[in-house]
Amino acid sequence: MTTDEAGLATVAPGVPGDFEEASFTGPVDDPSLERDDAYLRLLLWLLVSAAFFEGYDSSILALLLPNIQSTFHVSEAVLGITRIPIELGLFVAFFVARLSDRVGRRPMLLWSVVGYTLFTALTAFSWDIWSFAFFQFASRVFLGAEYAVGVTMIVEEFPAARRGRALGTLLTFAALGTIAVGVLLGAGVQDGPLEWRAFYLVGLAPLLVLSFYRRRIKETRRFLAVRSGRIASDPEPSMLEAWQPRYRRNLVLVGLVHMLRSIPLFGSTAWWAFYAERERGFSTGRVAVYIICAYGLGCVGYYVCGRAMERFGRRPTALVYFAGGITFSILLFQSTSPSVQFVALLLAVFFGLGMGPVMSAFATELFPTEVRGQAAAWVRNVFEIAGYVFGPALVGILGDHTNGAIGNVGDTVSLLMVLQIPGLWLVWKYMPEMRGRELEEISA
Amino acid sequence: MSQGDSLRRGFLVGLLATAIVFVLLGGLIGVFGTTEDRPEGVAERWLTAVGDTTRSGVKGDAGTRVADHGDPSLVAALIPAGIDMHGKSAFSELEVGKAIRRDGGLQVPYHVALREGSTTAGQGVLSMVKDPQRGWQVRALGPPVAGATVPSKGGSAVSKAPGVLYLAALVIGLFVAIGCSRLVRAAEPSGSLPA
Repeated sequence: MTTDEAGLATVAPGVPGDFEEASFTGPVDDPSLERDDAYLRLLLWLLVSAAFFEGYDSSILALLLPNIQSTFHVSEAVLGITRIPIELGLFVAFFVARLSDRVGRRPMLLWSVVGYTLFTALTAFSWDIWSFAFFQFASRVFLGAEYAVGVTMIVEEFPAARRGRALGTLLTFAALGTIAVGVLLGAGVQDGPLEWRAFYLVGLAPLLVLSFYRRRIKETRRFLAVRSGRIASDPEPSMLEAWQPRYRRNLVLVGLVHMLRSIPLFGSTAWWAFYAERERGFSTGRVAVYIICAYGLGCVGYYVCGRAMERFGRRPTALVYFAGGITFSILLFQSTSPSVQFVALLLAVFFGLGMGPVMSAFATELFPTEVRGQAAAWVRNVFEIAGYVFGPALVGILGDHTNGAIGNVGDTVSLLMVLQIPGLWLVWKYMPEMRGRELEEISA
Repeated sequence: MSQGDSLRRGFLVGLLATAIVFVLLGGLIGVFGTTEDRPEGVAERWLTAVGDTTRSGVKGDAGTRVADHGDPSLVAALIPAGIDMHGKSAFSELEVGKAIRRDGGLQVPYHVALREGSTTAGQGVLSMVKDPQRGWQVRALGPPVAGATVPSKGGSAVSKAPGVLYLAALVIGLFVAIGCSRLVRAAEPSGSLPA
């Protein structure tokens, strides 16, 4: 976990906190372990693939849902239910990533690339929805671990002044992964002989290349120093450390805000393409154009959010983004006009996904350094993943056209959006303002 | 009891409480879920199966599904013979709308677009009949009918959440806000959770 030049806290999801404090204290003073700029650039470019494929992989499932449904001929409810085991892979990834404290960052990264590659390829050969769910679950485990270890390597290898920018680059590439799926969709890859399965094989080719180049990756200086005994390793903190009475209130508060946001958010992102095609009559081509434009322009929301939280404060920025996200998501899932839907999608992405930086600030700034990694991991890997798991499942079960209690995806998502209002209330009522305050001051 | 034991105990209690909440939520969804198939949902499944009759690898299975939900002889009207779909689903677009009652039966508006070529039956209504053993069945295709259109052409959605449900959602949201508020307060160092 770290802060960038502007003091903007950047979350490092799933990063083990045990090496964290020492990484702020300066480089390990061994010239043989110095990392030059060329190496750091190479490291960053290789690690962004993890972020890129996190966005890419999640988007395949969201944007090709009607095609996958058609192949396995299952109901919307079953599609929703299969998201539960799939997304639980990211939860399991948290524990797998912690193994890097024992075996080292480099081997963990390489094994996670191999695991992700293997199970992504196997996904293309799924024979039914349950084999598909299993391969995607396993792929998520390794992808989540790869991403977490990648973030740890950046935190441990990059100098403090460049760390925030490097982590920001990682987040941006996750959004580019979604745009890439949109581009492939627009190019009609799903109409080729392998249909949607080709998307998983496309994801394989760059990873094989990256696996080759990753031979040039070195173990982090911090890990080598700890292993050789040149610097003392911090004792591995308990998983429950962040639940100590003095941190508990903030953890419950931040966790609930993340969960209340993520259930409707991931319910809507997972089902928008399906909704557009089956309930609004969009062609796949139009869905692709909308996604490319909306995510391309909507990503500006990340930048504006970062600036606004520095200028106006965390709370007002979060309140505006929450309100914007709710309003434009409901408009998106209720409007019948394609042009209104286009604008609504753009603004729903701008506000709904764009509030990531301020949510990251909440998840990190409210906790002292010694538990920041643990707290961020709880927020991301438990509270937020509850949204990944249950949001899509709830929409699928309630919105099933044949048997669902509500019977349509648009209304189900709109109703779920109401869940964000309690999140907005919690921010307004309980969240302290941290703008312009040093981390030490906030911790005290 | 040490602080570690207390944390573990609190964690297990929290886990159990979360599990109970989700079981109750699942039960609630089950109670309010519909046990009867909607004709529009069945019509959509049937059209999907019809589209799949030209799709490599699933043709046989698609034929079975077409027969399960309706009359297989109707496929020829939707997909003219002799058009090569390149092993893909015949339909690049597929949408159904809200069913209307007419002539003693139900008619579901639909719209499909062929991947290749064209069909005169690209839009219209599917006449549905409820069979006591097999549930809703597609029995005939008809031309477009006034008052029965798909949502993208201005028609109603298959199902619409009543306004009262939005009101109920707001009330549930209020209870969630109160519950979360209490949880945050209880988690304060002087709160009532085990420390």
